[in-house]
Amino acid sequence: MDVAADIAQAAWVTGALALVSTVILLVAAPPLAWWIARTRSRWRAPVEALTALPLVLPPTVLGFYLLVFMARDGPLGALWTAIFGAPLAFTFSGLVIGSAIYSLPLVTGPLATAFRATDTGVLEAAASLGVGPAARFLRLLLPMHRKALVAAGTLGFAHTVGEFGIVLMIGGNIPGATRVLSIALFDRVEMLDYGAAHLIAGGLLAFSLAILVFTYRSLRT
Amino acid sequence: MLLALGIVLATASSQGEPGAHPVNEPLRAAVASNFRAAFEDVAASYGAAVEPAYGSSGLLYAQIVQGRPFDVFLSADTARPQALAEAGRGGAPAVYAIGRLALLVNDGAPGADWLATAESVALANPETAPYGRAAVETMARLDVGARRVLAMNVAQAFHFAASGAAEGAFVAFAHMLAQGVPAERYWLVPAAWHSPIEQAAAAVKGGNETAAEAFIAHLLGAEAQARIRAAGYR
Repeated sequence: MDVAADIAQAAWVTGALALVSTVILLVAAPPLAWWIARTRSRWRAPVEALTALPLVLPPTVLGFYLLVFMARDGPLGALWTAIFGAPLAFTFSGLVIGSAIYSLPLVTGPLATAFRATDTGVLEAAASLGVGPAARFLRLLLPMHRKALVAAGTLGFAHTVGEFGIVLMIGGNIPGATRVLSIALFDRVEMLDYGAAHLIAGGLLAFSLAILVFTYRSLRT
Repeated sequence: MLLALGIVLATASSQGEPGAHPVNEPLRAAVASNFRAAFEDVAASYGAAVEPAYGSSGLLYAQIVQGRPFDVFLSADTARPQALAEAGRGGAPAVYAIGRLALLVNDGAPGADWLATAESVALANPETAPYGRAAVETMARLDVGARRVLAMNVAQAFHFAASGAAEGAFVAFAHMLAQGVPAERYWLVPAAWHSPIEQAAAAVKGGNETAAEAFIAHLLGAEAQARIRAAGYR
């Protein structure tokens, strides 16, 4: 495969991975963020710490444990094989799970901060009018925090594009399935193909800068 | 200011004529990670002090080109020392070890039959790692189409299988010996089934080339070669 096709394929895998992970996170993170922002449970601090863990852990730690969990006789791998009949390690699905965990704090954090500043008067008024909790959450709370949702989703997407350590540990560098841009860049450096490496590195730099500018601008206005 | 001047002078002298590097300084060796165990053995039996830095051949090569001071480069392949020589940054490459490819499996009897029925097998990236290229050649020779899970290097291929995530992996025989893997779990691929996994060393221009050549001579000598063979190379 020539260089351009290899990079294009890695870009496609990267984009698909970031998109799928972000969609999953935008469904899973808001309820979690709301619970973190509002609960008085003594479990709040431990749960919040667990959520933030991927921020401080080396990605290789996550990848190392994920690989053990995803192994055919590992807890998650065995379950996955039982349900889908195929192992989880070295697959796109495995990467999605890893990415969702890795980017969880980037999505949950901003949302929890925004939710803490919620004007609860509107929600209480709706509750007294008989609007159910699910409808209050979906039709009042989330629209109120549209900007925070966009920012959180964008950060999650960008963070997944920037992932390297976890993919390195659990991906298996399979073209079209688990070879993402950051891995393709590593490959090119190893191959001494610095021209292609510059292309990928420069592209990722420009993309990440653009997405951060977009995020900060959308948070302001 | 004096300190800065000192550093400049030291840098200048180390890049001067061969031998300008102080004789009593340890030999700075850039060593491919896969050769670590054997290198420690060989270095311990060498008369002079050696200061190794381990890493992937590609990254060590890049560091040498970018000016990280080394005297000798022990690569895991022949391409990178060759590239160094062609760029005028290294001496003539010399093959110091030939790797032996093995197939490690988690279940069943390792061998050509195992490969024929395997769903997936881990191997080092054939585009960057000689062990990976040898594995691909072996699979092509046997005409088996198991899904290839690519590791960054042969050590990671070993980890993929050891963790249970992959059913089996093409690994370095040296790792089997170093890790004490039971012989019934791996199969030594016949050397004739793939092109030789040659590892070459070269003196780095600008370093202490005299000391580097002396070390390479020791590396190619009968005593060091016996140690290298015992570590799982040919």
